[in-house]
Amino acid sequence: MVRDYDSQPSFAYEKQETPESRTDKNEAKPSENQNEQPLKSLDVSDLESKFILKARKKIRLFDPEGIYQFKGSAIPYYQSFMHLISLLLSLYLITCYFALIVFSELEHLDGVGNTSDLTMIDKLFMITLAVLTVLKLKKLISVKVTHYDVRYKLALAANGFNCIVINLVKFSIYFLALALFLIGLDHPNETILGAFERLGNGVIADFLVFSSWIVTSLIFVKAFKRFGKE
Amino acid sequence: MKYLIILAIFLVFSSQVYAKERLPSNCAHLSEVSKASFVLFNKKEFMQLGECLAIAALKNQKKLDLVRSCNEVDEDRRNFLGILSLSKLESILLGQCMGTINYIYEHYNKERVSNYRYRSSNRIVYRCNKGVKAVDILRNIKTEEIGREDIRELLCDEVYY
Repeated sequence: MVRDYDSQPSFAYEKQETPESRTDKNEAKPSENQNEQPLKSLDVSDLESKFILKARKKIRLFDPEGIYQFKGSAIPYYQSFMHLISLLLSLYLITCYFALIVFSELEHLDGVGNTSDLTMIDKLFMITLAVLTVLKLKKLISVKVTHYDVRYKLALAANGFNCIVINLVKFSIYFLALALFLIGLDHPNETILGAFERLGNGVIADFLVFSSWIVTSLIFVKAFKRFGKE
Repeated sequence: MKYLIILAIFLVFSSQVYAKERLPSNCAHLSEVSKASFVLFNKKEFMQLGECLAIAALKNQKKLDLVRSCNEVDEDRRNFLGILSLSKLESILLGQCMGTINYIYEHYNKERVSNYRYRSSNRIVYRCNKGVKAVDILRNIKTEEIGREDIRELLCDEVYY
């Protein structure tokens, strides 16, 4: 179903508002009137409608959910431009991140050459994430959602990938803090460099890597949640 | 889309061996193994490769980083994720530790000590450690790299028979 949401929000009872209707604010959630709610059942005050209008025009860079909720309104071209730039930037960062994982695990071994220290788990998760990304992008491209399809899809893709980047950064900070804390508990006299070396090898390290892969895939799944949804 | 999938798979699997090096001559039959990348199917072959490399290094009086190798053996024993968290590098290192211990055992165990101090008596032989005990001995040494004579001193005792 494709609707034109771009006109001014017209609420049936906006003029005849009574003081009582203003008080129950929790009924008028700004995002709900975008979807299936029939217009006449909603009482929205001036302030609330201003809030919605403002929310429509807001530029979103890390918020795929918001893009999805305001999918009806047209996205200005300057915002699309910023989406495009940020999309390219985050794609570059994500590629670098995975390239860094692959190349930092290479080690030289006499007689064999550079040998990979990637485990089966690493490979399985990387392939899963690559396939997931490709499938979701395919779905995003193939499903038509609004009138402003190209801009909407660009915005959603950019927000999704930006969201991945920001969440990965956040997660790696928390993860490093937690891992160093755990190592510090076990070996109180360890230096920082020694602790980082311990992070790369050992039973605890293997478990930490496994759990970090699970969190990484959750980040991807969350960012791609609205891709291709009508 | 097809190309994206191919690119992703290529990125993941192209990382195995870049600089090709010559294997030691007595490991030449394992050169196919050194190109393989799936630990899941090739763990045994990788370990054989490691053993072969260790033996070649010992024969040529090269030094080995046995602390690291034998730590991998210990890690492999205690790891609950098993083969899923074993990489190609780790399985080769694992083989190196096993190969060293077996080589020293087969080479020196019950052999007579040929030391000038004991020339008068030829009733002194080596008795070498094997298995878990040997792994633990090698894990606890302090030096990074170690040669054949030092390994023998660590693993083998001199006893009268």
